[in-house]
Amino acid sequence: MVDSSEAATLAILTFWVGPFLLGVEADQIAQLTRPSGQRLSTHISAGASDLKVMDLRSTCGLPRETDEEQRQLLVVDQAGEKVGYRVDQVGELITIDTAMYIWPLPPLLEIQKRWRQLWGVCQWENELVLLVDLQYQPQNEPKEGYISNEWT
Amino acid sequence: MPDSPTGPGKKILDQVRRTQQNQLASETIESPHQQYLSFLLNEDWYGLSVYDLVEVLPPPKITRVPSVPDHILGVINLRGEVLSTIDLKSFFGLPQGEPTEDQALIVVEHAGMRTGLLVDDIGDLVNLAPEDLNEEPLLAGTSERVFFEGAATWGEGFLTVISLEGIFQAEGMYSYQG
Repeated sequence: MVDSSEAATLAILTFWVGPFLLGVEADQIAQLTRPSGQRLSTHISAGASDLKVMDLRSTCGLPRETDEEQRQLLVVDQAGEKVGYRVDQVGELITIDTAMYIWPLPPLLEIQKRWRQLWGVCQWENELVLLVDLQYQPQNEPKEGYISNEWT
Repeated sequence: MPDSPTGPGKKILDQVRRTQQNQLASETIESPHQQYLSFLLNEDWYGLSVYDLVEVLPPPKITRVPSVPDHILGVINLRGEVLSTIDLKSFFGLPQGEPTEDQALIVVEHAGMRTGLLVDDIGDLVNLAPEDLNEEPLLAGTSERVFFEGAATWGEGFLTVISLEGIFQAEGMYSYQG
């Protein structure tokens, strides 16, 4: 995931799901949409497409947010299929020194984690950000958090 | 990010280092006693071999992690090393009380891996011989016998010595190949 031969930094988009501060490699994000469906930015030009949506509140074991309208959607290209991840709030785009401030999950967490897309931790200011690989497709696991197919 | 060990942990660790230095200096004298760090969970005292002890910290800011068992509190950054932290009361199935200002995080190292254990308070260092551990441990909550080496009478009560090997074996640590 981190190509040390190319860059010593990694651009990470942070976001909140309940109390959890999470981050994803910015290059994974194809689209970022407002609740209304208006795109904030687009890396990959894509027209209307059938979109599978995962609710990360369910993935994180949290109850459904009542104010669904305020939530945002991170869209990633997962092996040629567009998948949307619904999050509570998008944070900031940060740049992290990969050699100094990114670590794999400690062994105990690596074993015990149920969310297979969780892979590491980075330090950002006074916070630890939990890193997820939203392009990773766990094999033979229930699609926790799956909501429905939606049109964007 | 937690600073160097200070506060309650420093006193204990200074004592541990002195003891280890004394043991090295007199290594030709075989002593059957082992030293344990005592700590409190609710109202019961437990012990941990000082050989597993790395340091004791005031409770640092712990970053919660989603979708993990309840006894895993989260992760901390300990001077550039990210560690998992375990709530021992939750792991042993003990009732949770209100957090107190005496809480501490014991950093242990077992099988080459460091982990933080949250406890209610830190006590003294205790010298015990193997034959002292002749009491059956308190099996509170849903805890299993494998989590404990044994128990000794201590003061007016008991000191239950925990087994990191038993605890981490239950956690699947030994199967980790990462």
